[in-house]
Formats: sequence, C-alpha cells, structure tokens
Amino acid sequence: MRNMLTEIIAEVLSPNREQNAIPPMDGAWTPNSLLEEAPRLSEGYQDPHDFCVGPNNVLFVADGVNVLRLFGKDWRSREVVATVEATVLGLAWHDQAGLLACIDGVGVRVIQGPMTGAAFLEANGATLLAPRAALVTGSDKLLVADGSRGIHGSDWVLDFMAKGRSGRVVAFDLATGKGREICTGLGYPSSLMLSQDGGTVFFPEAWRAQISSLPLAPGEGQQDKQTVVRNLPAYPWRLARGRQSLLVSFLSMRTQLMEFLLGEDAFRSDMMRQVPRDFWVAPAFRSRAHVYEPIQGGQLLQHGKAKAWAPSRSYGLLAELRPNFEVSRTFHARHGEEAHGIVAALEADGRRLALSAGAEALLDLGAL
Amino acid sequence: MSETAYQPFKRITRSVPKQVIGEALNKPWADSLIPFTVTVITIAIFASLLEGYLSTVNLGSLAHQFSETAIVVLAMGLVVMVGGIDLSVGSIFALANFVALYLIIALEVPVGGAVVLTVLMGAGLGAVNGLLCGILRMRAFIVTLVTMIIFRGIVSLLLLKFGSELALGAEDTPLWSFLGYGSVLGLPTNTIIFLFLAVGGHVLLTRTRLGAHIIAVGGSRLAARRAGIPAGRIAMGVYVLSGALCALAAVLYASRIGSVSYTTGKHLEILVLTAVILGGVSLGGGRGSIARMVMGALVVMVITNGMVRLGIRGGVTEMATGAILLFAILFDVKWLKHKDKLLNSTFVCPVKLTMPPLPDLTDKNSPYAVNDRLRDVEVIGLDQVDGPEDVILDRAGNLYTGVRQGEILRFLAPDYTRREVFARPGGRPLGLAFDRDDNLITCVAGMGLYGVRPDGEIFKLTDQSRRTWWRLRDDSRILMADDLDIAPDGRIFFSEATVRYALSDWIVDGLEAAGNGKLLCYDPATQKTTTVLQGLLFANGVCLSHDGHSILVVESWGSCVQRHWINGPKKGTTEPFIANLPGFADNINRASDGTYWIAIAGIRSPLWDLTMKSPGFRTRMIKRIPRDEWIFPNLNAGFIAKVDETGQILDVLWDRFATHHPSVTSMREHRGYLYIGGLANNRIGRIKLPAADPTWMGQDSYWGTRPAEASEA
Repeated sequence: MRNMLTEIIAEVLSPNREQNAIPPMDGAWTPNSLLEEAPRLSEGYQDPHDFCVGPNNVLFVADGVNVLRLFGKDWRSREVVATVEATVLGLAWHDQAGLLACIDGVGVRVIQGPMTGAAFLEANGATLLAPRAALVTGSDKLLVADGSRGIHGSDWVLDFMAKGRSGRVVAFDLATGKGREICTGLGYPSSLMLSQDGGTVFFPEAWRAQISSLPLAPGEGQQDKQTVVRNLPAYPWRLARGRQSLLVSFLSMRTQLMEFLLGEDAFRSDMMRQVPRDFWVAPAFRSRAHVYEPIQGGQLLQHGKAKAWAPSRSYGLLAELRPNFEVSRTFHARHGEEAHGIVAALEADGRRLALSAGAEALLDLGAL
Repeated sequence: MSETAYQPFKRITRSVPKQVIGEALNKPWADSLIPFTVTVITIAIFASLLEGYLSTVNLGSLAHQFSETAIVVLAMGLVVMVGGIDLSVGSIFALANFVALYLIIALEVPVGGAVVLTVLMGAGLGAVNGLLCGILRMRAFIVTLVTMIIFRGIVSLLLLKFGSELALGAEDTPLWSFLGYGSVLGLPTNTIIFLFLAVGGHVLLTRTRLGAHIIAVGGSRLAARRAGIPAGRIAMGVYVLSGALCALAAVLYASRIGSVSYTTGKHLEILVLTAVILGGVSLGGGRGSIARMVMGALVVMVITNGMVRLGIRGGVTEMATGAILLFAILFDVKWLKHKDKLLNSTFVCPVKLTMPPLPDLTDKNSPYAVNDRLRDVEVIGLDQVDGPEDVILDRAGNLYTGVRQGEILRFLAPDYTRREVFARPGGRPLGLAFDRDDNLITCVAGMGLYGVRPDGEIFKLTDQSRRTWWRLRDDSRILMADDLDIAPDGRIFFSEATVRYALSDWIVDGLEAAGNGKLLCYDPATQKTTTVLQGLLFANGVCLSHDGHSILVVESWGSCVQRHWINGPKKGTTEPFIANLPGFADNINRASDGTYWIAIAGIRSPLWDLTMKSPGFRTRMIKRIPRDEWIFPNLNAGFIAKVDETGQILDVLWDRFATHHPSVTSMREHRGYLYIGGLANNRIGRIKLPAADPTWMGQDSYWGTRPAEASEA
C-alpha cells in the first residue's frame, strides 16, 4: 500500500521519469568486438550450457546431454565422459565430491569422482526442475541455484515471459543428501559464487537484471537476500571468481522492445499462444537468422549491411568486475556478429576462457 | 476498435473515428475550439445565473459596452501577434477620450474633424511606442509600461488644468449622438464599427501580404528579416494601428459617456490582455486570429459584467480578472509546449488487420520454397546507386533507375560501367515506365507524376487528384506516388501508396494499416486525375495485363494483388489476382512469356501477423519506444516470384544468404535478362534467364516493335 502511494506521488511529481531505464552502454560498457575476434579453442558444440575446471587444469564442458572432458595443450583434445538423461545445465568440480552435474528436470548428481552416484534431487517437497549451478561450501554443504519452481530449465524462456519470481537457493547436506530452501522468491538465480571469505554467496537474478547476495548463516531458517548490483544493461547469467576480478557473463541485452512487451500482458500471452517459440520477441542465446524471426527497425539492412548498434535479439557480453562489483572492462559481440550467448566464463591455467552458445565454441580471451 | 477484416473488396470508405479526431486536431481551426467552448460555457453559466440576461434589452446594453473594449482588444491582439505588447492602451484611451471631448466641447471643432484629429493623435502616440519597440528594438514590455505612465500623467495634468471647462459642456449634434446612441438595423453604431474593424482585421491577417508579414514577424523576427521582410517597420506599423484603434474606441466612448475622469481607461490593459490571451493569441507572437480575440473579449466581458450584476464587489471582480489572466497564460505556455506532442500522438491510429494464414515457407514442397537462384547475379553500379527502387531499360538497352538523391541515373549499354545523371526531378523517383513516344514517365515521391523526354527535359503531368469528400484531411495533393503503368489509349494508372504519410514514414503507414492507398488515373486527353480505387493497404506496384484490359495493383501490407478491369465486359470491377502472399509485394511487371514478375520486398512473420491483429499494442508501441526498436516487417529477406495470368505461382528466385539482394523491390525483364532493384540497396543485379525470349523487351510488348533506325544509336 505504501509502495503504491509513493508510486502515485512519484507519478504526479515527475510523470516522465523513467523507471529502471536501461542504462546506456558507455564508459566501461562501450561496445567492442573482442568476443568475436577472440581465437576459438574448440568448436562444434551443439547445445553448450556450462563448463568448469577440473583437476590438472582439464575442462569439463556441458553440451546437451553429454559432458565432455577437454585436455592437452590448449585443450585441443576432447572426449565424452558421461551422457545423462537430460540436458546438463551446470557443472561444478569439487575435490571431495567430484564432478557435479545439474540435470534439467532432475536435480544434481555426482557423475565422476569420489562421491559418484550421489544425488541431490529435491528440497521442501519440490524437485529441482531448473538446477543451474552447484557449489560446495565448507566441507559438508552443497548449494544449488534452482531457477524456477515450476518450469524446466530448458524452458527458461517461459519463466522469463511469466516474469518468474519462484527461483530459490537450496542447501544440501553433502553426507545425508537432505536439502532445504535457504532463499526463495528469486527472479531466476542462474549461478552461484562464493565470497573470498566463504561467508556469503553471490548469485545473479537474471530476470531482475541484478546481482544479489546471501549470508551463509549456520542456522536453519531462510535468509534475506541483499541487492549488490541493480539495473544492469543485460540479463546477468553466470558469475565466476577470477584471480583478481569477477567475471559476469550475460544472457543477452535488455531491449526497449522487450521491456515494453513485459508490460503488455495481453499481447505477450497472445504471442506465446499463436507464435512458435523460436520466433517470439524474447532474449536468446543465439539467432538463427530465420526469416520468421522478429525484426526491429534498427535491424533493417542498409546497402546490404547490418548496423552494429541495432537492437539485437541475442548478444555477446562478458564483464570484468572489480572486487567491489564496479565494472572495469567488457567484452562484446554485437549485432550481426556470431559470438553471442556467453553461457559461462572462467579463468584456467592463466587464461581467460568463455563458452559461446552463438558461436558454439570455446573462446580464448587471452592470458591474464 | 475499428476493424479491417481481410475482405479484399470491402474497403474502408468511411473515416475511422479516432482518425477523425487526429485529423481534426491538425486543422488550423482546431486552435479555436478551446476558446469557443470556453465562450459558450461562460455565457451559459451567466445566462442561467442571471434572469433576463439574454433579453434583447440587456444584449443591446452589453453590445454598447462591449464594442469599445473589443476594439481595444483588437489593438492589443494585433500587437501581441506581431510579437510585442502594448500596455499603454488604457492611457491612450484616456488621453483620446479627453482630447476628443476637449476638441468638441471647448474648442468647438466640428465632430468629423475632431474624430479624425483624435485618431491621428492616437496613431502618433502609437508611433512613439512603435519607434521605440519596433525600430530601436527596445523591450516592448518596459517601453509601453513607461509610456503608459507618461500618457496617464499627461491626462492627469490636462484634467487638472482643463477639466473644469468640460464639466459643464455637452455636445448634442446629430452625428455625435449617432455615434453614441444611434443604431443601424438594431445594432448600436459602435458595434457596427467594431464588426467592420473585426472583419477588416480578419481579412488583413488571413488574406493580405501585410497580414502574412505580421504573423511572420511575430513568429520569428529574425527569420522574417532574413526572408526580406522589413520587420522593424511592420512592427512599428502595428503599434501605430494599435494607437489609432484605441483612440477610435475612446471617441466612441466619449460620444456615449461624454465625460472625463481620472479613472477612464484605468486597468483597461489588463482587461484586454486577459481577453487576448484567453482567446488563445500566444504571448510569444505569431499565433492567433481575430475570431479568437473576439471570443476572448466576449468571455472577459461576460464575466466582469456578470459579476457586477450579481452584486459582487469591484475588488473581487478585478481579482477574478487577474486570476483568469494567470490561468490563460499558464494554459498558453503549456499548450504551445505540448501541442505538437498531442497532435503526433493522435494522428497515427492503427486499425485491426486480420491476415489470412501465413503460407509456410519452410515447407520444401511450398511453391515459395527457398532456393539460391540469385546467387550468381551480375552486379551493376555497386556503390554508385543509393536505393534503386525501380529499374527500366530503353530500346537501346540503357538502364535507368531513380535514386535517393532525387536523380534518375542512366547506365549505358552494353557493359553498364558508365553512369550519368539522366534527369534530376528533385523528389525521389520510384516507379518508371516508357510511354509510346519514349518519354520516361515516373512517380516521384513527394511530388507526383512527372515525365522526362529522351533529351532529359522534365515535365509535370499531375500532382493532385480530386479531394475525397469524407476525409477531413485534404488528400488532393499526391503525397506518395509509387508506381505506374500506361494503357494503350495513353491513360496512366498510378498508385499513391498512402495519403497520410511521406515515403520516409512508410513504416508508420504499415503499423497503422488503415488502407490509406489509392489507385489513380491520369488521362492526358483531359489532363484530369481521377481516383480509381481507394482504401488500399499501401498501393504499390502497378502493371497493365498483357491483353491491355485490366490493371494489376499490389497492396503491400495486404500481401495481395488486385485486378481492376479498365476495358471489356467487366470494366470498372475489381477482383483478387493473388490473395495471400507470404510477404510484402512491391513492383509487378510483365514477363516475356505472357506471365508476370512480382518483387517480394519482405517476408511476413507469425509475429508480424499477430502485431497486425493488435491495434492497441501498435499504438502504444509507436508512442513509447523509439522507431529503431519497433517491430518491423522483415525486409531483410525477399524474393522474386513469377505468376501466370490466373495468379498461380510458377517460380521463385531467392537470394538465400542475402548476399546481393536481401530485399527486392523491382525487377525488369529485357532481352533475356532480368534486372533487379532494391529500395535500400547499393547495387543493381542482372541475371540471365535461360528460358526467356532473348529479343523480348517491354517497349515492344506495350507499343509494338519499331524499325531499328528509330531507336537510339
């Protein structure tokens, strides 16, 4: 009620104010083509979702239902280490537990290593339908980011269109496999990152375009989250800790059309009913340039060329943040380029790597 | 919400209600609507409060009082319109009142002479203001404030010295009495004079060069001066006129009241300024009309007079006048600031358009299935053309195209590497066609239908048609001529894509989808332009059928082609030629084998069809987000289709990877080749048609073969 009152007062006092206007891409956000120009270490992924570093600097890559192991010089060699029943949405390696795979509609399972076979599937009576990230803290606790309570992880776009706020962070006891919700009502937590001291966990709330944090208290009850960064220009997808910086990769840009559509409930539901999903106005990891994909004014070719500044359905964006969450540098792949949809980025063996769904490749962003 | 269901022949032949509002607000007279409403309401209120307010007696007495004030309102209004302000009107009024009475009573000057002298004196006082404000460009507000005090001081001095001479005297010559109390046809003399002045003022402002200059100077003094208007002299002239009008009003007042006092004309400036601003004459200058000044005067008069009659005290009445002035100024400022915004937001009014089911392009068995036949196109004029919308070839094989710079370019046969400017019509040339005498007839967007003789000389055929009687907005000027074709009898059929938007706003017409297009016909015999069809959803390509009996006209937003019979038993009727294309068709032209080529400039998508069904959504989208973010039709993909005389699709040519022709707006077959143009492209394409007649050309098809010597060497 009070909120509504202040809204009304603000509306009267400054009717033209912009609420959470998409911030301009300037300063450290200034677009470039660094992602597009980056060398591609390995290519040909079908449906990449995540990757992580294992022992001896090998890389594990989640590609559809397969988990690949990349090894050798510049990770040129690869092999399939596991095939599971559904799409692998997230991967994590922990020395005591092994390789944790977040499986769409199923939950988290250890598929390699000391605890192979251990499964973490439900909490508070609800299956982990959209497990996007797993994180072992201390020696006995496993945190899982579950994007949505009702919608499978591969159907995330439905949750986006519904402005889903049912995401949760779940804590499991590694030994017993018992889980409980420690934070609920989240706008799609899509990854997890531990603070330096291990006392706080950070996670992006993609649909809210913000990064939130949660103190890891020993008690039983739920915790209140705090907002660390708000109103980002794109939907944050994955957080990773580098040696001196933090890496945030983004699903795609927020566009004015998308924000407008999120306020047009009737049209949005008509679109969801009458238009095939691939041709919705929706954020996407990649564009297939199909003739039925929606076109926005700025995207029209002039003299056969696409304008780099055109609003884009999918976009490549990776930001490097200082420890205080200020943006220091960004990597882009713009409209008309390929290296869109950076599903994950991390530092391994002194190099910075990013996995692009648009280019279906592992990008090498150079030595640190 | 109004609806254009997909019924090819039930066109919108009436105005969409929202469109009427938008177009009405764009009319010049829309500015008067608000003062008019205020006037009517005010009169209604006081008429209901006061018994007998509208009785003849009371109206007569009101008219007496009203006319003198109203003349001063005209004076003030004109000064405000020229960009100034005249606060000294009350003082001039008082001074003139004194002078008129003194001349007549004390000096016994004949009435006629006294009137002329007084008016001249008023003009002189106005000239002082005019010299200072108009010529020396001092601030009108300060200058007239000062002259107001000075003139008032003069009146006081004169009253002190000569007041007693006038106290007892009186004048009762017939002329003087007629001025004060007479009437003609039941109207008081001063009202007649006022009406005469008002009509004169209206004619001055709207029908004369001087009036146009006054408005121009008021709108922007600097711009007026740059346009060669003597701004200073015009402004001074208006101040002189203002002084003279005030003096005339004072003479009428003197003849009626016949006495002098310190309070004559006091606070008159505030009263008339209120009337002027309330009437919607902008304080910024350059906007207003006599009618609105009169309405403002009426409102102020009715309010002040009505309050007196209601027994409200003088102070309160003055306060009320002040409050009204403040309100009027506030409204003036806000209205000026937001008017264009309001107009823009009401002008576009999308209509529901339900498209038939989208033909599936992705199906391999579809007649439209994607191929790569345009891959090996030969490129002509790369980066030498900016938007070749249409292409055509003459008998000698030279290639012509209209480009964005407003030129018609010619690439010379046989290798098309030499480029020259053939003609420069100025607007953007779109459709092209050769007539019987090898004149190149072209639809020029923003201009109309023009022709170019073989030597490059340009001549106008037509730039207007008959106005549609039921449209509020004048649509007689041809705003966006698009494509044409010529019948054997010489009649030129051409399309006007939309009557509401210019070429650069094609997308707004698309999002409106209200059927704004027309098929027009220009008959060189009568030199008349008539409307053949209207209510078309972006009338685009036009082509005469091979037998010459019908005209094919494309509706881009309707994704269809209509056939209109111009000869034969079905003459005057229209029927669908192609009902449901998967994209937005553009130009249509003859092929050598008795069929037709159709350019498909873009592809309909499921989302676009849904957008067309949701007019409210489109309205909000246009208002809330910038154009580059709007949902657009997909003009990044297109193809060329070949159709037979029954409208069956025979063949399609795609540029699958959009290398050369992402969107195709025209194609022209000539001697076994197909030449391809695009509105947003930077090249012309040419592809060999293996199965086509290598001798066929459009000219022969339309006008018959001609001996070789007639064609250009």
